[in-house]
Amino acid sequence: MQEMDAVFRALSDPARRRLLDRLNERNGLTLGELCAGMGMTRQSVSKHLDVLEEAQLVATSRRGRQKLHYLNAAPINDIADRWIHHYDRSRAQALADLKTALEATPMDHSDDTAFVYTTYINAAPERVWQGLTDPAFTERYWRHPVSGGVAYRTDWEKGSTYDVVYDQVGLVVHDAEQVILESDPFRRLAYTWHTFTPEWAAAHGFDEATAAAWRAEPRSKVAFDIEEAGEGVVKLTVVHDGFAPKSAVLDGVRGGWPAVIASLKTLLETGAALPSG
Amino acid sequence: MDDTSFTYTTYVAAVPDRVWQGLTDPDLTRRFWRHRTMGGKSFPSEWKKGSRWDLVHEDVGLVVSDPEQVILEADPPRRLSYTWHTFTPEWAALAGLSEETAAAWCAGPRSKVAYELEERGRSVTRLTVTHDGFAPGGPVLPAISEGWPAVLSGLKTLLETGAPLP
Repeated sequence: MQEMDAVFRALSDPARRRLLDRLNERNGLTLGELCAGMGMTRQSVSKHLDVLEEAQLVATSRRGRQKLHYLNAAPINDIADRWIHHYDRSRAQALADLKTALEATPMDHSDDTAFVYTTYINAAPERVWQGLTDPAFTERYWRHPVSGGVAYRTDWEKGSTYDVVYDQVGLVVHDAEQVILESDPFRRLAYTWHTFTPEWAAAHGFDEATAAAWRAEPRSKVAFDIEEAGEGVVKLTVVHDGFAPKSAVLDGVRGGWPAVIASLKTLLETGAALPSG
Repeated sequence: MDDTSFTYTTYVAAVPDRVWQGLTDPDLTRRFWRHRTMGGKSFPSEWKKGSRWDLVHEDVGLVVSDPEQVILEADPPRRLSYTWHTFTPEWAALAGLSEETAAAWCAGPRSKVAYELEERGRSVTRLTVTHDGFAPGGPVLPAISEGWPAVLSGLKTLLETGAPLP
C-alpha cells in the first residue's frame, strides 16, 4: 500500500508525468537529455527524478561516467489493474473474482529444483541453434527492459568459458565458472548459469543483498534440446536445473524463460521479435 | 511441478480478444488444435458461465457431449475456465487408447482448465493455462502435459503467421 501511495504521489505532478512520457518515447536518457526542453532548472528535474526513482517508476544505470534513466512501467500497470480494470466490471463480478482468488489453492513450487519448458518452432534445427547462440539473434529477443539485449561471447565449445555481454549498458559478466558443459550442434547445448555479479545486479535493478543471496546458492545450469518433430518443426526443450529446494533464483528464472522462448519463436517464425512489454 | 496440475505460460503477438477467439472459435481451433488420429477439434458452446460445451472432431464424425462439460467462468477476453471433457468409449477408441488405459483415464476425477489472458504492452498477450484437478499418479496428467505445449505453440504460430504449424 505504501508503494502504491508513492506511485500516486509521483504521478500527481505534471512535470513528472512529462518526464515519464519522455522516457516512454525514448528510454535510457541522461539527466542532461531529460532537462532539454523541460523549461526547468537541472536541480528541479533532478529532484523530480528522485521522487520517480523512490516510487520505482524510474531505474538508473551507470554507463561509464554517465547515469542513464529508464522507465519502469510495472507500477503503472499495477495501478491500471487494481484501480481501472477492477472498476470496469460489475461489483458482483469483482466480489466473485475475489472469492475465486481466495479459494484457489496456489501451486506449491517450493520443492521444485528445476524449470522445464517445451515449445514447438517452425524452423530448422540449425536456425534454432543460431537463435540460442548468435549475438545477432540473442540481442533481438533475449532482452531486459533496462539492460537491453544480451550476447554470449564464446566459441561454444565444450569446456570453454563464456562471457555475458550487455552492450546497451556497457556490462560484461565474466567468471571462469561460466562454462559450456555440452555442445552438440544442432541438437543439444548446455552451460552453467552466469554469476550474479554486483554490476549485473545493479544493471538489473536488484539490490546487493538480493544478489549476495543469489550468489550463495549453488550454480544452476541450463540445457537446450533441439529435436526434429517432423514437417520442418523443431521441439525445443529447456531444462534449467541444479537448484536447491526453495531457491530464490529459480523463482526469478521461472518468470523469465517463457517470455524469452516465446520471443525467440516469434523471431524465427515472423522475422521480428515480440515487442518488449 | 505440482503432481495434480500442469501450468504453461506463453506470450503471443496478438491482442487478448484475438487470443480468446483462438481458444474458442471453431474456424480457428480446427486449424491448430489437432489430434494425431482424430484431426481438428471444435468446441460448440455459448461460452457463458454455466453453459455446456461439446467436443467435436468433424473429420471422424465424433461428438463428445456430457452435461458435466460446463463453462465455469467466462470473462472475455481475460479469463476462461471449463471442466474437461468425458473420455467416452467412442472417444477412447478413436484416440487409440486400449480398453485398460481408457478405464484408468475414466477412473480419475474430472479435471478443469483455466486460461488467463493479460495484455502486456502493445498487442502482446500473456496467456497462462492451468489444467488441474487430477488425481496424483494418474495417467491423464502426463498425457496432457505433453499435449499442451504443442497445442499452444500451434495457437501462437497460427495467430502470428496466419498459418498453422505444419
